[in-house]
Amino acid sequence: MIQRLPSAYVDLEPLAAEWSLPTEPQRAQRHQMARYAELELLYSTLLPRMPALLDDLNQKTFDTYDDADRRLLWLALSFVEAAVAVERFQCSDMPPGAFEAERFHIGEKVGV
Amino acid sequence: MGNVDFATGAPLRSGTVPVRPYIDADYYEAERKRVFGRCWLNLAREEELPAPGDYLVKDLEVLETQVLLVRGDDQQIRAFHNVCLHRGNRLARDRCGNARGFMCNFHGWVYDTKGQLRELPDEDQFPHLDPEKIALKSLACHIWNGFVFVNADPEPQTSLAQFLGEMNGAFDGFPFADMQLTAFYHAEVNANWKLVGDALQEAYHAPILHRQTVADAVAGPDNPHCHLASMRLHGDHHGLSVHGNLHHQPTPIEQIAFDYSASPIYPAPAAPSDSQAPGVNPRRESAWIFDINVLFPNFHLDPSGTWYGTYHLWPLAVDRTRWEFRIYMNPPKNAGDMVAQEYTKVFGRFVQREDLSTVEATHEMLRSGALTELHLSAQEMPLLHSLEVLESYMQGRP
Ligand code: FES
Ligand SMILES: [Fe+2]
Repeated sequence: MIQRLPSAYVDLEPLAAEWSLPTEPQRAQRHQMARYAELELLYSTLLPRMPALLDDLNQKTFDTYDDADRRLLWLALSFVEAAVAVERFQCSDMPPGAFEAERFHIGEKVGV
Repeated sequence: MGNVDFATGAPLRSGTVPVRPYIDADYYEAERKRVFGRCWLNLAREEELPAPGDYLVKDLEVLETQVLLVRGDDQQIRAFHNVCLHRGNRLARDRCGNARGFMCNFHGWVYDTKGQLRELPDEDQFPHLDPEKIALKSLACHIWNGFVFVNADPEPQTSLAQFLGEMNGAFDGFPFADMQLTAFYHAEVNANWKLVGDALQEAYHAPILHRQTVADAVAGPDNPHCHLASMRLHGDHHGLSVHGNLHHQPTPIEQIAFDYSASPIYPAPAAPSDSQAPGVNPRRESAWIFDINVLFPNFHLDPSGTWYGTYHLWPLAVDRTRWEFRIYMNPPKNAGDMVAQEYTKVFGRFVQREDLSTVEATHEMLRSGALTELHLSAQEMPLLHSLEVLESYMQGRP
Protein backbone atom coordinates (compact mmCIF):
# COMPACT_ATOMS: atom_id res chain seq x y z
CA MET A 1 0.00 0.00 0.00
CA ILE A 2 1.38 3.43 -0.91
CA GLN A 3 1.48 5.76 2.08
CA ARG A 4 0.65 9.37 1.43
CA LEU A 5 0.70 12.70 3.20
CA PRO A 6 -1.87 15.46 2.54
CA SER A 7 -1.12 17.07 -0.83
CA ALA A 8 0.55 20.20 0.56
CA TYR A 9 3.13 18.02 2.26
CA VAL A 10 4.13 15.44 -0.35
CA ASP A 11 7.70 16.83 -0.37
CA LEU A 12 8.03 15.50 3.18
CA GLU A 13 7.35 11.95 2.01
CA PRO A 14 10.97 10.74 2.44
CA LEU A 15 10.96 11.92 6.06
CA ALA A 16 7.53 10.42 6.68
CA ALA A 17 8.80 7.06 5.42
CA GLU A 18 11.32 7.11 8.28
CA TRP A 19 9.49 8.95 11.01
CA SER A 20 5.69 8.65 10.74
CA LEU A 21 5.31 6.19 13.58
CA PRO A 22 2.05 5.82 15.50
CA THR A 23 3.21 5.34 19.10
CA GLU A 24 5.51 7.09 21.53
CA PRO A 25 7.62 3.96 22.22
CA GLN A 26 8.17 3.54 18.47
CA ARG A 27 9.13 7.17 17.98
CA ALA A 28 11.45 7.09 20.99
CA GLN A 29 13.12 3.94 19.72
CA ARG A 30 13.57 5.47 16.29
CA HIS A 31 15.08 8.53 17.97
CA GLN A 32 17.42 6.29 19.94
CA MET A 33 18.76 4.50 16.90
CA ALA A 34 19.04 7.63 14.72
CA ARG A 35 22.28 9.20 13.60
CA TYR A 36 22.47 12.81 14.75
CA ALA A 37 22.42 14.04 11.15
CA GLU A 38 19.02 12.40 10.67
CA LEU A 39 17.63 14.25 13.68
CA GLU A 40 19.09 17.53 12.43
CA LEU A 41 17.51 17.00 9.02
CA LEU A 42 14.10 16.22 10.50
CA TYR A 43 14.37 19.24 12.79
CA SER A 44 15.56 21.78 10.25
CA THR A 45 13.05 20.64 7.62
CA LEU A 46 10.01 20.60 9.88
CA LEU A 47 10.67 23.62 12.08
CA PRO A 48 9.68 26.27 9.49
CA ARG A 49 6.69 24.16 8.41
CA MET A 50 5.23 23.52 11.85
CA PRO A 51 2.92 26.55 12.26
CA ALA A 52 1.20 26.00 8.89
CA LEU A 53 1.15 22.26 9.43
CA LEU A 54 -0.57 22.60 12.82
CA ASP A 55 -2.94 25.28 11.53
CA ASP A 56 -3.97 22.91 8.75
CA LEU A 57 -4.45 19.89 11.00
CA ASN A 58 -6.29 22.02 13.55
CA GLN A 59 -9.03 22.57 10.94
CA LYS A 60 -10.10 18.99 11.62
CA THR A 61 -11.18 17.03 14.64
CA PHE A 62 -9.42 13.73 15.27
CA ASP A 63 -12.48 11.67 14.33
CA THR A 64 -12.47 13.17 10.83
CA TYR A 65 -8.79 12.42 10.16
CA ASP A 66 -7.94 10.27 7.16
CA ASP A 67 -4.78 8.15 6.91
CA ALA A 68 -2.82 11.00 5.35
CA ASP A 69 -3.69 13.38 8.21
CA ARG A 70 -2.66 10.76 10.74
CA ARG A 71 0.68 10.25 9.01
CA LEU A 72 1.31 13.98 9.07
CA LEU A 73 0.47 14.19 12.77
CA TRP A 74 2.82 11.29 13.56
CA LEU A 75 5.58 13.05 11.64
CA ALA A 76 4.96 16.19 13.71
CA LEU A 77 5.20 14.11 16.89
CA SER A 78 8.56 12.69 15.76
CA PHE A 79 9.67 16.27 15.08
CA VAL A 80 9.30 16.82 18.83
CA GLU A 81 11.80 14.03 19.48
CA ALA A 82 14.27 15.61 17.08
CA ALA A 83 13.70 19.08 18.52
CA VAL A 84 14.65 18.02 22.04
CA ALA A 85 17.76 16.27 20.71
CA VAL A 86 18.90 19.25 18.64
CA GLU A 87 17.90 22.11 20.94
CA ARG A 88 19.06 20.56 24.20
CA PHE A 89 21.73 17.95 23.65
CA GLN A 90 23.24 18.37 20.17
CA CYS A 91 23.59 14.62 20.01
CA SER A 92 21.32 11.71 19.20
CA ASP A 93 20.68 10.77 22.82
CA MET A 94 22.13 12.41 25.93
CA PRO A 95 25.65 13.01 27.20
CA PRO A 96 27.35 10.05 28.87
CA GLY A 97 26.27 9.54 32.46
CA ALA A 98 22.54 9.94 31.88
CA PHE A 99 20.23 7.14 32.98
CA GLU A 100 20.34 4.75 30.03
CA ALA A 101 17.53 4.86 27.50
CA GLU A 102 17.43 1.04 27.34
CA ARG A 103 16.52 0.89 31.02
CA PHE A 104 13.94 3.69 30.80
CA HIS A 105 10.64 2.12 29.81
CA ILE A 106 7.82 3.90 28.04
CA GLY A 107 4.40 2.51 28.84
CA GLU A 108 2.30 1.20 25.98
CA LYS A 109 -1.40 1.83 25.45
CA VAL A 110 -1.29 5.45 26.59
CA GLY A 111 -2.76 8.37 24.68
CA VAL A 112 -4.88 8.75 21.59
CA MET B 1 11.19 33.60 49.38
CA GLY B 2 10.71 30.18 50.84
CA ASN B 3 12.43 30.83 54.15
CA VAL B 4 9.52 29.82 56.35
CA ASP B 5 7.28 26.79 56.54
CA PHE B 6 4.16 28.37 55.12
CA ALA B 7 1.86 25.99 57.02
CA THR B 8 3.19 26.89 60.46
CA GLY B 9 5.19 30.07 59.94
CA ALA B 10 8.19 28.30 61.51
CA PRO B 11 11.62 29.00 60.02
CA LEU B 12 13.01 26.41 57.65
CA ARG B 13 15.59 24.09 59.16
CA SER B 14 18.84 22.83 57.72
CA GLY B 15 20.76 19.96 59.28
CA THR B 16 22.42 16.60 58.95
CA VAL B 17 20.84 13.20 58.40
CA PRO B 18 22.37 9.76 58.94
CA VAL B 19 23.44 7.59 56.01
CA ARG B 20 22.43 4.30 57.59
CA PRO B 21 18.71 4.40 56.64
CA TYR B 22 19.70 4.51 52.97
CA ILE B 23 22.07 1.55 52.88
CA ASP B 24 21.54 -0.77 55.82
CA ALA B 25 19.85 -4.10 55.04
CA ASP B 26 18.52 -4.54 58.60
CA TYR B 27 17.04 -1.07 58.53
CA TYR B 28 15.33 -1.93 55.25
CA GLU B 29 13.88 -5.15 56.66
CA ALA B 30 12.40 -3.21 59.57
CA GLU B 31 11.14 -0.48 57.24
CA ARG B 32 9.16 -3.00 55.23
CA LYS B 33 7.06 -4.03 58.22
CA ARG B 34 6.99 -0.85 60.28
CA VAL B 35 6.45 1.61 57.44
CA PHE B 36 5.08 -0.14 54.37
CA GLY B 37 3.18 -2.68 56.44
CA ARG B 38 1.37 0.09 58.30
CA CYS B 39 1.00 3.13 56.05
CA TRP B 40 -1.66 3.81 53.46
CA LEU B 41 -0.21 3.15 50.00
CA ASN B 42 -1.56 4.44 46.70
CA LEU B 43 -2.00 1.71 44.10
CA ALA B 44 -4.25 3.08 41.38
CA ARG B 45 -6.66 5.67 40.07
CA GLU B 46 -10.35 4.94 40.32
CA GLU B 47 -10.73 5.51 36.53
CA GLU B 48 -8.61 2.40 35.91
CA LEU B 49 -11.56 0.35 37.21
CA PRO B 50 -14.61 2.05 35.68
CA ALA B 51 -17.11 -0.85 35.59
CA PRO B 52 -18.24 -3.57 38.00
CA GLY B 53 -15.97 -6.59 37.56
CA ASP B 54 -12.98 -4.51 36.39
CA TYR B 55 -9.85 -5.66 38.16
CA LEU B 56 -6.12 -4.92 38.37
CA VAL B 57 -3.30 -6.96 39.85
CA LYS B 58 -0.55 -4.90 41.49
CA ASP B 59 2.80 -6.21 42.67
CA LEU B 60 3.69 -5.14 46.19
CA GLU B 61 7.19 -6.60 46.39
CA VAL B 62 8.01 -4.65 49.52
CA LEU B 63 5.37 -6.70 51.36
CA GLU B 64 6.02 -9.83 49.31
CA THR B 65 2.46 -9.93 48.07
CA GLN B 66 0.29 -9.15 45.09
CA VAL B 67 -2.86 -7.11 45.47
CA LEU B 68 -6.04 -7.78 43.52
CA LEU B 69 -8.13 -4.60 43.17
CA VAL B 70 -11.65 -5.21 41.95
CA ARG B 71 -14.83 -3.18 41.59
CA GLY B 72 -17.85 -5.06 42.89
CA ASP B 73 -21.42 -5.03 41.60
CA ASP B 74 -22.13 -2.54 44.37
CA GLN B 75 -19.57 -0.19 42.69
CA GLN B 76 -17.23 -0.45 45.65
CA ILE B 77 -13.53 -1.06 44.97
CA ARG B 78 -12.00 -3.72 47.23
CA ALA B 79 -8.46 -4.99 47.70
CA PHE B 80 -7.46 -8.60 48.34
CA HIS B 81 -4.25 -10.53 48.58
CA ASN B 82 -4.20 -12.37 45.26
CA VAL B 83 -4.09 -15.79 46.90
CA CYS B 84 -6.54 -18.69 46.86
CA LEU B 85 -7.66 -19.79 50.31
CA HIS B 86 -7.49 -23.48 49.52
CA ARG B 87 -3.78 -24.15 49.19
CA GLY B 88 -2.41 -20.75 48.37
CA ASN B 89 -2.22 -20.66 44.59
CA ARG B 90 -2.14 -17.29 42.84
CA LEU B 91 -5.74 -16.47 42.05
CA ALA B 92 -6.04 -13.93 39.19
CA ARG B 93 -3.45 -14.69 36.53
CA ASP B 94 -3.98 -11.75 34.16
CA ARG B 95 -2.71 -8.29 35.10
CA CYS B 96 -6.09 -6.68 34.44
CA GLY B 97 -9.46 -7.41 32.93
CA ASN B 98 -13.16 -7.67 33.65
CA ALA B 99 -14.54 -10.71 35.46
CA ARG B 100 -17.74 -11.85 37.14
CA GLY B 101 -15.57 -13.75 39.57
CA PHE B 102 -12.24 -15.49 39.92
CA MET B 103 -11.66 -19.21 39.53
CA CYS B 104 -8.46 -20.70 40.88
CA ASN B 105 -6.89 -22.85 38.18
CA PHE B 106 -5.54 -25.46 40.63
CA HIS B 107 -8.73 -27.08 41.99
CA GLY B 108 -11.40 -24.69 40.82
CA TRP B 109 -12.47 -22.71 43.85
CA VAL B 110 -14.47 -19.72 42.67
CA TYR B 111 -14.77 -16.31 44.36
CA ASP B 112 -17.06 -13.42 43.47
CA THR B 113 -15.97 -9.80 43.02
CA LYS B 114 -16.62 -9.14 46.70
CA GLY B 115 -14.16 -11.88 47.59
CA GLN B 116 -16.81 -14.33 48.82
CA LEU B 117 -16.31 -18.03 48.04
CA ARG B 118 -19.02 -19.03 45.55
CA GLU B 119 -18.09 -22.51 44.39
CA LEU B 120 -16.33 -25.23 46.30
CA PRO B 121 -15.93 -28.32 44.09
CA ASP B 122 -16.57 -31.60 45.93
CA GLU B 123 -17.75 -29.65 48.93
CA ASP B 124 -18.75 -32.81 50.88
CA GLN B 125 -15.10 -33.67 51.31
CA PHE B 126 -14.55 -30.48 53.33
CA PRO B 127 -16.88 -31.21 56.25
CA HIS B 128 -14.88 -28.86 58.46
CA LEU B 129 -15.53 -25.86 56.23
CA ASP B 130 -18.51 -23.54 55.99
CA PRO B 131 -18.19 -22.04 52.48
CA GLU B 132 -20.48 -19.17 53.45
CA LYS B 133 -17.87 -18.00 55.91
CA ILE B 134 -14.94 -18.05 53.53
CA ALA B 135 -13.71 -14.87 51.86
CA LEU B 136 -10.45 -13.73 50.33
CA LYS B 137 -7.94 -12.04 52.63
CA SER B 138 -8.67 -8.37 52.24
CA LEU B 139 -6.64 -5.21 52.71
CA ALA B 140 -8.25 -2.01 53.91
CA CYS B 141 -9.05 0.00 50.81
CA HIS B 142 -10.19 3.63 50.60
CA ILE B 143 -10.41 6.28 47.95
CA TRP B 144 -9.31 9.90 48.20
CA ASN B 145 -9.83 12.26 45.25
CA GLY B 146 -10.06 9.19 43.01
CA PHE B 147 -6.76 7.72 44.26
CA VAL B 148 -7.13 4.14 45.50
CA PHE B 149 -5.15 3.50 48.69
CA VAL B 150 -4.67 0.24 50.56
CA ASN B 151 -3.36 -0.57 54.00
CA ALA B 152 -1.85 -3.99 54.63
CA ASP B 153 -2.09 -3.71 58.41
CA PRO B 154 -4.84 -6.16 59.49
CA GLU B 155 -5.88 -3.47 61.96
CA PRO B 156 -4.89 -0.11 60.47
CA GLN B 157 -3.84 2.38 63.14
CA THR B 158 -5.44 5.27 61.27
CA SER B 159 -8.18 5.82 58.75
CA LEU B 160 -7.02 7.13 55.39
CA ALA B 161 -8.49 10.52 56.30
CA GLN B 162 -6.58 10.59 59.59
CA PHE B 163 -3.42 9.48 57.84
CA LEU B 164 -3.67 12.28 55.27
CA GLY B 165 -4.47 14.82 57.98
CA GLU B 166 -4.12 18.38 56.74
CA MET B 167 -3.55 17.12 53.20
CA ASN B 168 -7.17 16.00 53.15
CA GLY B 169 -8.93 19.05 51.74
CA ALA B 170 -5.91 20.51 49.99
CA PHE B 171 -6.95 19.26 46.55
CA ASP B 172 -10.70 19.81 46.80
CA GLY B 173 -11.88 21.04 43.42
CA PHE B 174 -8.82 19.88 41.49
CA PRO B 175 -10.18 18.31 38.28
CA PHE B 176 -8.35 14.96 38.62
CA ALA B 177 -11.21 13.03 37.01
CA ASP B 178 -11.25 15.24 33.89
CA MET B 179 -7.65 14.41 33.09
CA GLN B 180 -6.41 11.27 31.46
CA LEU B 181 -3.22 9.27 31.70
CA THR B 182 -1.05 10.82 29.00
CA ALA B 183 2.32 9.23 29.74
CA PHE B 184 3.66 6.38 31.86
CA TYR B 185 7.38 5.83 32.38
CA HIS B 186 9.03 3.28 34.64
CA ALA B 187 12.48 1.97 35.45
CA GLU B 188 14.24 -0.30 37.86
CA VAL B 189 16.85 1.77 39.64
CA ASN B 190 19.77 0.37 41.62
CA ALA B 191 19.38 2.65 44.60
CA ASN B 192 17.44 2.84 47.84
CA TRP B 193 13.85 4.04 47.40
CA LYS B 194 14.49 7.10 49.58
CA LEU B 195 17.43 8.25 47.45
CA VAL B 196 15.15 8.16 44.41
CA GLY B 197 12.38 10.01 46.23
CA ASP B 198 14.81 12.58 47.65
CA ALA B 199 16.01 13.50 44.16
CA LEU B 200 12.41 14.39 43.30
CA GLN B 201 11.56 16.58 46.28
CA GLU B 202 14.00 19.46 46.16
CA ALA B 203 14.86 22.05 43.51
CA TYR B 204 18.40 22.88 44.69
CA HIS B 205 19.77 20.52 42.02
CA ALA B 206 17.93 22.13 39.10
CA PRO B 207 20.50 24.78 38.04
CA ILE B 208 23.29 22.17 37.92
CA LEU B 209 21.88 18.74 37.10
CA HIS B 210 19.26 20.15 34.72
CA ARG B 211 21.46 22.82 33.13
CA GLN B 212 20.74 21.45 29.64
CA THR B 213 17.01 21.08 30.16
CA VAL B 214 14.70 22.67 32.69
CA ALA B 215 17.13 24.88 34.64
CA ASP B 216 16.28 28.13 32.89
CA ALA B 217 12.53 27.57 33.20
CA VAL B 218 12.70 27.14 36.99
CA ALA B 219 15.68 29.28 37.99
CA GLY B 220 16.63 32.66 36.54
CA PRO B 221 18.56 35.77 37.48
CA ASP B 222 15.94 36.62 40.13
CA ASN B 223 16.27 33.16 41.74
CA PRO B 224 19.62 31.64 40.73
CA HIS B 225 19.55 28.79 43.25
CA CYS B 226 15.98 27.88 42.48
CA HIS B 227 14.56 28.53 45.92
CA LEU B 228 11.11 27.15 46.41
CA ALA B 229 8.19 29.52 46.05
CA SER B 230 6.78 28.09 49.30
CA MET B 231 6.91 25.01 51.48
CA ARG B 232 4.53 23.50 54.06
CA LEU B 233 4.73 20.54 56.39
CA HIS B 234 1.45 18.71 56.97
CA GLY B 235 1.89 15.99 59.59
CA ASP B 236 3.63 13.06 57.91
CA HIS B 237 3.43 14.73 54.51
CA HIS B 238 4.58 17.93 52.90
CA GLY B 239 4.11 20.17 49.90
CA LEU B 240 6.44 22.49 48.02
CA SER B 241 5.78 24.98 45.27
CA VAL B 242 8.38 25.17 42.52
CA HIS B 243 9.36 28.61 41.29
CA GLY B 244 8.97 29.45 37.63
CA ASN B 245 11.23 31.87 35.78
CA LEU B 246 8.93 34.38 34.11
CA HIS B 247 11.86 35.62 31.99
CA HIS B 248 12.58 32.21 30.50
CA GLN B 249 13.12 32.45 26.73
CA PRO B 250 11.40 29.45 25.15
CA THR B 251 13.36 27.41 22.62
CA PRO B 252 11.75 27.11 19.15
CA ILE B 253 9.92 23.86 19.98
CA GLU B 254 8.88 25.26 23.34
CA GLN B 255 7.46 28.33 21.65
CA ILE B 256 5.40 26.09 19.35
CA ALA B 257 4.24 24.00 22.31
CA PHE B 258 3.31 27.03 24.41
CA ASP B 259 1.53 28.69 21.46
CA TYR B 260 -0.51 25.64 20.45
CA SER B 261 -1.37 24.04 23.80
CA ALA B 262 -4.97 24.42 24.86
CA SER B 263 -3.86 25.01 28.47
CA PRO B 264 -0.47 25.74 30.09
CA ILE B 265 1.88 22.78 29.99
CA TYR B 266 5.19 21.91 31.63
CA PRO B 267 7.53 23.78 31.78
CA ALA B 268 5.42 26.89 31.15
CA PRO B 269 4.57 29.09 34.14
CA ALA B 270 1.05 28.31 35.31
CA ALA B 271 -1.00 31.33 36.18
CA PRO B 272 -2.69 30.73 39.53
CA SER B 273 -6.43 31.21 39.70
CA ASP B 274 -8.77 31.77 42.60
CA SER B 275 -10.76 28.67 41.72
CA GLN B 276 -7.64 26.56 42.09
CA ALA B 277 -7.61 23.92 44.83
CA PRO B 278 -6.60 25.56 48.13
CA GLY B 279 -3.50 23.42 48.60
CA VAL B 280 -2.15 23.94 45.09
CA ASN B 281 0.31 26.85 45.05
CA PRO B 282 -1.41 28.10 48.23
CA ARG B 283 0.41 31.43 48.19
CA ARG B 284 -0.83 31.99 44.64
CA GLU B 285 2.68 32.89 43.49
CA SER B 286 2.64 34.03 39.88
CA ALA B 287 6.22 32.83 39.27
CA TRP B 288 5.21 29.22 39.70
CA ILE B 289 5.29 26.03 37.62
CA PHE B 290 4.03 23.16 39.75
CA ASP B 291 3.87 21.71 43.26
CA ILE B 292 5.50 18.64 44.72
CA ASN B 293 3.46 16.88 47.39
CA VAL B 294 5.06 13.95 49.12
CA LEU B 295 2.47 11.67 50.68
CA PHE B 296 4.49 9.55 53.02
CA PRO B 297 6.05 7.15 52.40
CA ASN B 298 6.35 6.70 48.64
CA PHE B 299 3.75 8.62 46.66
CA HIS B 300 4.35 12.03 45.07
CA LEU B 301 1.39 14.00 43.75
CA ASP B 302 2.61 16.94 41.69
CA PRO B 303 -0.16 19.21 40.38
CA SER B 304 0.13 22.29 38.23
CA GLY B 305 -2.84 24.37 37.16
CA THR B 306 -3.93 22.17 34.26
CA TRP B 307 -1.96 18.92 34.55
CA TYR B 308 -0.55 16.70 37.26
CA GLY B 309 2.14 14.09 37.64
CA THR B 310 2.62 11.22 40.09
CA TYR B 311 5.66 9.27 41.23
CA HIS B 312 5.65 5.94 43.02
CA LEU B 313 8.86 4.69 44.58
CA TRP B 314 8.41 0.96 45.15
CA PRO B 315 11.18 -0.71 47.13
CA LEU B 316 12.38 -4.02 45.69
CA ALA B 317 15.40 -4.41 47.98
CA VAL B 318 17.53 -2.11 50.11
CA ASP B 319 19.35 -1.08 46.94
CA ARG B 320 16.67 -1.52 44.25
CA THR B 321 13.58 0.55 43.47
CA ARG B 322 10.86 0.47 40.87
CA TRP B 323 10.39 4.10 39.83
CA GLU B 324 7.07 4.96 38.18
CA PHE B 325 6.13 8.32 36.73
CA ARG B 326 2.78 9.20 35.23
CA ILE B 327 1.54 12.41 33.60
CA TYR B 328 -2.16 13.26 33.45
CA MET B 329 -3.52 15.96 31.15
CA ASN B 330 -6.78 17.06 29.61
CA PRO B 331 -7.65 15.06 26.48
CA PRO B 332 -5.94 16.88 23.57
CA LYS B 333 -8.34 19.10 21.67
CA ASN B 334 -6.52 19.08 18.33
CA ALA B 335 -3.20 18.38 16.63
CA GLY B 336 -1.52 21.48 18.04
CA ASP B 337 -2.56 20.53 21.54
CA MET B 338 -1.30 16.99 21.00
CA VAL B 339 2.09 18.19 19.74
CA ALA B 340 2.33 20.48 22.76
CA GLN B 341 1.58 17.57 25.10
CA GLU B 342 4.14 15.47 23.25
CA TYR B 343 6.71 18.13 24.00
CA THR B 344 5.95 17.90 27.72
CA LYS B 345 6.34 14.12 27.51
CA VAL B 346 9.54 13.95 25.45
CA PHE B 347 11.20 16.82 27.28
CA GLY B 348 10.04 15.30 30.55
CA ARG B 349 11.61 11.93 29.65
CA PHE B 350 15.01 13.56 29.33
CA VAL B 351 14.59 15.59 32.52
CA GLN B 352 13.69 12.35 34.31
CA ARG B 353 16.75 10.60 32.94
CA GLU B 354 18.83 13.44 34.38
CA ASP B 355 17.09 13.02 37.74
CA LEU B 356 17.76 9.28 37.74
CA SER B 357 21.38 9.74 36.64
CA THR B 358 22.81 10.50 40.09
CA VAL B 359 20.99 8.14 42.41
CA GLU B 360 22.75 4.89 41.49
CA ALA B 361 26.19 6.46 41.82
CA THR B 362 25.09 8.03 45.11
CA HIS B 363 23.95 4.68 46.47
CA GLU B 364 27.22 3.05 45.46
CA MET B 365 29.28 5.73 47.15
CA LEU B 366 27.19 5.75 50.32
CA ARG B 367 27.65 1.99 50.53
CA SER B 368 31.39 2.58 50.81
CA GLY B 369 30.82 3.70 54.39
CA ALA B 370 33.03 6.74 53.87
CA LEU B 371 30.21 9.01 55.03
CA THR B 372 28.04 8.60 58.09
CA GLU B 373 25.97 11.73 57.58
CA LEU B 374 24.70 14.04 54.84
CA HIS B 375 24.22 17.81 54.94
CA LEU B 376 20.92 19.35 53.99
CA SER B 377 20.23 23.01 53.25
CA ALA B 378 17.09 24.75 54.45
CA GLN B 379 15.80 24.36 50.88
CA GLU B 380 16.19 20.58 51.34
CA MET B 381 14.09 20.50 54.49
CA PRO B 382 11.57 18.12 52.86
CA LEU B 383 14.23 15.39 52.92
CA LEU B 384 14.85 16.06 56.59
CA HIS B 385 11.14 15.91 57.29
CA SER B 386 10.67 12.64 55.41
CA LEU B 387 13.48 11.01 57.39
CA GLU B 388 12.10 12.28 60.69
CA VAL B 389 8.68 10.86 59.88
CA LEU B 390 10.29 7.60 58.80
CA GLU B 391 12.23 7.40 62.03
CA SER B 392 9.06 7.91 64.06
CA TYR B 393 7.50 4.89 62.36
CA MET B 394 10.70 2.91 62.87
CA GLN B 395 10.53 3.74 66.60
CA GLY B 396 7.09 2.11 66.54
CA ARG B 397 5.02 5.21 67.19
CA PRO B 398 1.43 4.30 67.88
S1 FES C 1 -5.24 -23.80 45.52
FE1 FES C 1 -6.88 -22.73 44.66
S2 FES C 1 -8.38 -24.25 44.36
FE2 FES C 1 -6.72 -25.32 45.26
FE1 LIG D 1 15.06 17.13 38.93
